[in-house]
Amino acid sequence: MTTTRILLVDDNEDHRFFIRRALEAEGDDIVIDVAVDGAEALDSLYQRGGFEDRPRPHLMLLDLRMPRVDGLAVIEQVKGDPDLRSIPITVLSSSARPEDVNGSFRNGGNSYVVKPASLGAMRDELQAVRQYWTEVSMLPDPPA
Amino acid sequence: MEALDRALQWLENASFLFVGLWAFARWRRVRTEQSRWLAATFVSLGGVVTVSVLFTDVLGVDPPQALTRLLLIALAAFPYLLLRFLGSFEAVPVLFQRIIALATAVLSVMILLLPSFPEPGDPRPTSFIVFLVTFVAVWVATLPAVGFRFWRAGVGQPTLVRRRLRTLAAAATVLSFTLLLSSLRSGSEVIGPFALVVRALGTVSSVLFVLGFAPPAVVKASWRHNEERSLHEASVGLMRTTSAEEVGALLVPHVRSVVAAEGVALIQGGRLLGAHGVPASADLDALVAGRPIDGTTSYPISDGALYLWPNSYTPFFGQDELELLGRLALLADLALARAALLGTERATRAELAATNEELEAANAELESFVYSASHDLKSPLIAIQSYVELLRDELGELLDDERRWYLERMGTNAAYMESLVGDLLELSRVGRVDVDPEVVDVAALTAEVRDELRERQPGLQVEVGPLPAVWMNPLRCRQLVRNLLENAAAYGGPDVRVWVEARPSSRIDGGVELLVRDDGPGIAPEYREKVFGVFERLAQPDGKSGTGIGLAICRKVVAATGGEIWITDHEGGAEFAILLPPSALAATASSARTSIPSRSTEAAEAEVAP
Repeated sequence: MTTTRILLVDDNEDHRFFIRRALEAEGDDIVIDVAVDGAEALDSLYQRGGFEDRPRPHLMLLDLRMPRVDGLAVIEQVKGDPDLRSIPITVLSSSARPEDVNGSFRNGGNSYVVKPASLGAMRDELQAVRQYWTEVSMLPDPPA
Repeated sequence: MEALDRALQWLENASFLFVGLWAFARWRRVRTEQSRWLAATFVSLGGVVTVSVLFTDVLGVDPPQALTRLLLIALAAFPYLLLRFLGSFEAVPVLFQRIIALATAVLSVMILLLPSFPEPGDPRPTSFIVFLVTFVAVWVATLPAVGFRFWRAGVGQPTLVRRRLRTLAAAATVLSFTLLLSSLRSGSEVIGPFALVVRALGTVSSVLFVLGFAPPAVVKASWRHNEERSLHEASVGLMRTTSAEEVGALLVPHVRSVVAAEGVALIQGGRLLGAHGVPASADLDALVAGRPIDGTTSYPISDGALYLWPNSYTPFFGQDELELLGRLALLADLALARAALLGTERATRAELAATNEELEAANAELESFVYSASHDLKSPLIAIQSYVELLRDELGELLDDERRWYLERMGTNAAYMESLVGDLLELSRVGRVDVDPEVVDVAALTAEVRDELRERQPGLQVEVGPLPAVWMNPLRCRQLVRNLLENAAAYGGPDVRVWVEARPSSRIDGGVELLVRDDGPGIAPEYREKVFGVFERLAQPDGKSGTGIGLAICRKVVAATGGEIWITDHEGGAEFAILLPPSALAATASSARTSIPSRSTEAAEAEVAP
């Protein structure tokens, strides 16, 4: 099995820790890159601002409410860019507000997970998401 | 021809007599300089006519010589008197007035000195011819000049005043011509066409004087047509005005056109609403401040007045127009009252709109604050709960029971706080988010909620009676039912029985009361209102407690439908009553929605019926 690269974007250090724990608990071959807000996420995707060597991720896990550039703006930017739009984006937010859920999908987000308050639930959710976007469904590749 | 001459003469005499009497009556009523000169002018003329008629037609003899001289002097003075009357309105050149006075005096002396008056048909002595020529010369020189001044005075006046002044001008001029022509007339008894023309001219002149001084109502009405139209326009316009300023702007020009006045000012409530032609010397500020000033006529309106600066012709010729003005002032008063009401209404509406906007803004701000707060509270909660879980997973084996219990309490509290935050968020959203109504089958919904709750509390029994379908947002309706059932389950003990029923409302016609009753311990009367407040909760039998927001959400959900929720006086358990108005019931709401098509169907059927 090939290595799955995941870009984790969350401004909350604790949440990043648990999400990382949940992902790594699967025992699969996973590499997790971290961005602490939307701006850093975009730098990372465009390989600039100190992230020049970062490979393209297979999946993005994205929080919504973040300083500088928020999650909805990141989705809009990524899905509006032909080179990046094939990266699946899963929103991982503590908000279940319809405005946030609808906004994410309207901007082109691919799935939406409300952060569960339990590690076990988090593990199950993330495993399902990862498997779906890397093994079940793939977004079309960018034009060569 | 003789008869016609007699008729004309009769009309002429009657007219002059009428003007004389009218002028006298007016002088008796209004003692002004104008009415004094007017009375002098026409009482003397009327007197001459009356005395002549008395002697010639009634007694059938000539008047005595002395009386004839007196009558002639009165006649000779007519132009001078008419000039003085005019002088009471506007300055007449002193030289002109003096020449006429001198001529009149000379004539009077001549009349007194004449040896005798020839009988009609007798040859005229030279002295008499000189007298006659002088007499006619004075009349012909004076009356048209006076007439011209009357004519000129009419410029810029309202139609009625202008026509009256011009009629008087014509009367004076025609009278002078009459005299000129009659002096050329031979003294023969036979009445020829020439004599008849002279007679007709005299009659016309007399009638014109009557029309000028005391026009009959029908003549006045026709002369006043323009002003009436202006008044009508004003009344239509005034009823469309919506502010005091508009009333002022509209009224002032109409006042000017209706009444002969130099200036007009409309003042109300210490504000100048409109002014036109006010003399520069007038102290408008004093008027606005409510102090009357000289030289104005005012028409009171509520909390103000319409002020006029009359010209010299206004009191004499404009009296009727002032009465029209009274009507206009009344209209203005109505329009101002209406504008004030509209203004108050506008202000109230604006105030309400502003308050509403503020409330909306405050609500939106609160909602956004509650959302942000709950979101920001949720993040650390998720962290705490997850760390607790990690500790339990990784240290579980190593911890003694007491330490494990600490961790458990941490987890329980974090979970409780999470539900608090969630409920607060929901409370802030009721009535603002998810408001679109649908038909909801409450019985099915209740059964569903019951099954959900029984997973946690298998002893819970819920009996669902026949319930109406409602017209509510399904999410809110579910919140309502779930919160009430959860409440009963939490406070009624593990084997609580709950009955959900409906009955027609005795308070709102067509409304329905849903009843949620349990056989639990019930709620003491003093708490029956309090439990609907946020964070208000009673002790639960198992020592746990809810968030205290559930019933507050219920109340808000019910209030959003226009209904009410309360706890009844039912003994032995708690009974919640939910009053739903007809608009929140599916049957009523759907029949209201379909009533128009069904009616048109009936109409269509009626049309095809034989």
